[in-house]
Amino acid sequence: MAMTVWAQLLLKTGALKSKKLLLNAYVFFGYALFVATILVNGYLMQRFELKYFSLIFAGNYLLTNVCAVLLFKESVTRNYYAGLACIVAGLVVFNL
Amino acid sequence: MRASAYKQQLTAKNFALLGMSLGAQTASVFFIKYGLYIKAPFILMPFLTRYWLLGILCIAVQAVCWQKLLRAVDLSLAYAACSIFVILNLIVCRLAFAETVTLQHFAGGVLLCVGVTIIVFSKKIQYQQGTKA
Repeated sequence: MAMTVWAQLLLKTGALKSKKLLLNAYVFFGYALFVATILVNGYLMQRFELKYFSLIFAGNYLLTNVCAVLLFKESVTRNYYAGLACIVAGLVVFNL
Repeated sequence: MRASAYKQQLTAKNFALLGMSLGAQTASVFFIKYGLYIKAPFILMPFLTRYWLLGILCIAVQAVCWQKLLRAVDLSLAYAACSIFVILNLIVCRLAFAETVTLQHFAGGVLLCVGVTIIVFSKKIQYQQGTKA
């Protein structure tokens, strides 16, 4: 999850810093991290049941949003917090 | 965006693209997981099986379908619909790998979908109001 979030943040940083998306170090390392994530996911699948990948999908989304707000100072609304609360509730219900 | 504008985006072609994107994403996870059941003589072997290659191919198909879908449909609508993957993944777990998936897991999955949808649409409203998001 951390790798995916890191990759997303690198892609966003790359998009903000340069117009040449494909010749950008941030973008390059962002996609390299995505490839590494596929391999790591493969090994995780050996140890965990596949159903927990639903949690990873939601967790990635949750963490990416929180990091975007904290690092890029993106503005948020009450609906945004309601959505976050819903995702957290979903994670809790899933793991009960 | 008004509800009527969303209705215009809900064409048969876009539904087909969404279905293919979701199907390819679910299939990629299935093939990658299935490939891991094959006994590997050395550590990198699972990544070289045909199932893994099929999984990677599905990821590529999903990426193409996703890009085509985004050309025709708003990201907010596409991402909200894409969260159905959570539910599809649970169905695959139950049917293909006989994992223990209960109603509680499905309830959690539905809550996750609702959360993603609320966030996506709250951001869309922010953009429409001209605030930085």
